[in-house]
Amino acid sequence: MTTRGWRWLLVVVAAGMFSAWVLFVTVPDLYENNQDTEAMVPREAPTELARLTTATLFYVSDDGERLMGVERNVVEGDAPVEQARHVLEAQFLGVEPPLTSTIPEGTLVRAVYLTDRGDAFVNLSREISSKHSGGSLGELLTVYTIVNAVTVNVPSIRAVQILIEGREVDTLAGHVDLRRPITPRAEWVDLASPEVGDITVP
Amino acid sequence: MVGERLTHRVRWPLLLVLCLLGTVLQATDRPTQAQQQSLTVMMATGHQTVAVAQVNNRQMVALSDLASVFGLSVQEDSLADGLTVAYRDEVVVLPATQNLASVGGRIVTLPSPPVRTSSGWYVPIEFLDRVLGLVINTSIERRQQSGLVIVGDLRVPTVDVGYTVGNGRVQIIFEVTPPAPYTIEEDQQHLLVKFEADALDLSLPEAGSGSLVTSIQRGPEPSWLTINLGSEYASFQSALGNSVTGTSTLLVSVLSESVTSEITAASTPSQPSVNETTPPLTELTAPTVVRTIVLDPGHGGDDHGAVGPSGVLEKQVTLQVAERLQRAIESRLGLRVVMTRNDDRMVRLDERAAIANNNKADLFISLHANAALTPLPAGAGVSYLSLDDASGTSREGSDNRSVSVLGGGLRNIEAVSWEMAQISHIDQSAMFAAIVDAQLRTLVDVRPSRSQAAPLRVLTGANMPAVLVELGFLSNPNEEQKLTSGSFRETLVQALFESVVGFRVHVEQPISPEVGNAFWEEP
Repeated sequence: MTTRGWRWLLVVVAAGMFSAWVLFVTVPDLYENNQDTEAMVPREAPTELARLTTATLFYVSDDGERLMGVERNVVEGDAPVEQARHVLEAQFLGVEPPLTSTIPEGTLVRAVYLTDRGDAFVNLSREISSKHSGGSLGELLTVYTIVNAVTVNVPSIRAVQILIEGREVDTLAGHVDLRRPITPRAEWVDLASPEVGDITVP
Repeated sequence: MVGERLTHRVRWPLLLVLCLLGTVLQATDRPTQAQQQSLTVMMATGHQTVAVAQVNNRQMVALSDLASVFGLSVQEDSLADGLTVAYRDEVVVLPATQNLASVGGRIVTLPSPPVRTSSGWYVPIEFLDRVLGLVINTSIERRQQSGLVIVGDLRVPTVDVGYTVGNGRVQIIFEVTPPAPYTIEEDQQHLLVKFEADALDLSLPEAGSGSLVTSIQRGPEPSWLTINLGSEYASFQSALGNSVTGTSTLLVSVLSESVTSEITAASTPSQPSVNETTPPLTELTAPTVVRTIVLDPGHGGDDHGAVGPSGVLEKQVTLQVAERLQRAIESRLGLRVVMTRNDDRMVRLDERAAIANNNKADLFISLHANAALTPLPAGAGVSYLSLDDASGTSREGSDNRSVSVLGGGLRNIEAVSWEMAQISHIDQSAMFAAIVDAQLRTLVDVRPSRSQAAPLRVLTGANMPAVLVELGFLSNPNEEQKLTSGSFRETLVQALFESVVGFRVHVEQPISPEVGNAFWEEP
């Protein structure tokens, strides 16, 4: 081999060693460093913004004789039973004048159950009865607020039965029969109220 | 290749010729004048008539007529081979060869394409409710049977009129859908039934003549009816019952002199008071069907019911009115009255119905005072049980079963759940509610809505006609004061007493159910 040949062989070997160093030492180090960098960045807490949807809630009409529908944003639920609960929780929140709520103050939604027939069982706290002001009209408006709010906003639910503290009850205040699921009735809704929109109560 | 080119060359002229031929053929269509009918278009500003023509065996209306009624502009569009109908900014495209319309990009199907006749373009009558409503952005309801086209939110209830004749009275039945408030005015020869509506979609029985009622016809106003009275007319009664199906039944009983005298005798004297001299029972009509009435003063004991702003308790008002009513009925009608409570004690709702059932009562009246969530509502009211909510399956709550009997064989019995006992009495309950409503209206302020059906717990187990009467609103400060006054309570008692009398007359002197072809003729 000539001197020139040795030189070429040396260059090739040096180049090969350099490539091997880059391939097996430098690149893995860089990769590992990147991994460490990523690991060191503190991850932000997941921000779950509640999805909202529009629902029709019911309050006392101007003449006090019926209900009127008012559109409000409520939390959107993934399943009908979850949606029904969100609607009721929004319905049970206190309201400012000129709106008047039909739900006694302090009433809580304990749970909502749904049967395959589309009957919802709404379990409420005892305030729905113990703090009710009485009178058949007031009681009818309270009951149909709950029934209409659920059935109008969750179409797969056809009727609602109200339970109090997990038990079936006769009435809220001595008038309206609560022993069975109640279907919505349009006659208790003032369909001419300005915000009632396109509500169709079966 | 040549063939393809020829086909290509020929295709468009051929289509053109076919279109022209079609147009020419269409132009030869003639609306059949002999089969013309008309539509009555009702708007807030009045009503107009639009002729209906039979074109190609289909009911159609002239676009020119619709243009004048609704303010449309109609233009032929030769490029689109059709018509454009414009109303303000809205445009409808009607292809001449397709049974559809394009309304702002929305496709609406029609039974047939528009047809060109010698007198202009015609469209199917379905164009009105399917297309025109979208164009003018107002609801249009077309009623096939009556030929009414209702534009906008007009109140045009359907009113089907029927009648029964017999026992010195004509009972005229108005089935009103949806229910509409009414008043009745009387003069010497007519009864004017005035409905609170813009017009009536009216179905009248065939004309005839009789000695009590000679005819029924449209009144001088679109929402009025006129009952023309005969020579034997003496008085009338009316009652309204709302059904759960969204139809109210108005009953107008036109009475002869003899029936009027009987009713007057039964309800005399008219001022109930425990201090009055009780009339001899022999002067009163002896009860034959209504013998026992159960009065149910609502609430009691720990259950105060509603409480007025100044502290008046519902349980006290109901008991005091019930006691007065009991005395009036017992002393003046000689009927047996049973109270579900005579003092301030709690009575369960089931027990109240059981008291009525065990005493074989013929009528159950539950007395309450109302309360609302705002102080505004006022007035007395009456309710009966709503069937759907009570039974879940409406009248199917009763069940026919076969049972074995002694000696062999089977016998069909109607089995009704105890707690559903009211189901078989709903119609009578609705009728009594209508009578109470009418009587209350003559004496005290009542709520705007008439007697209504509601899922009322206390009524479900009552095995007889049963209503719940709300005497007034304790939540209304003025009515709270009135409900504490003796004179107002007497007035309420008077209205309820008259209602019982009216119900007895209704039950004990039933109208012959037959509907004769001989209009208004006594059978």
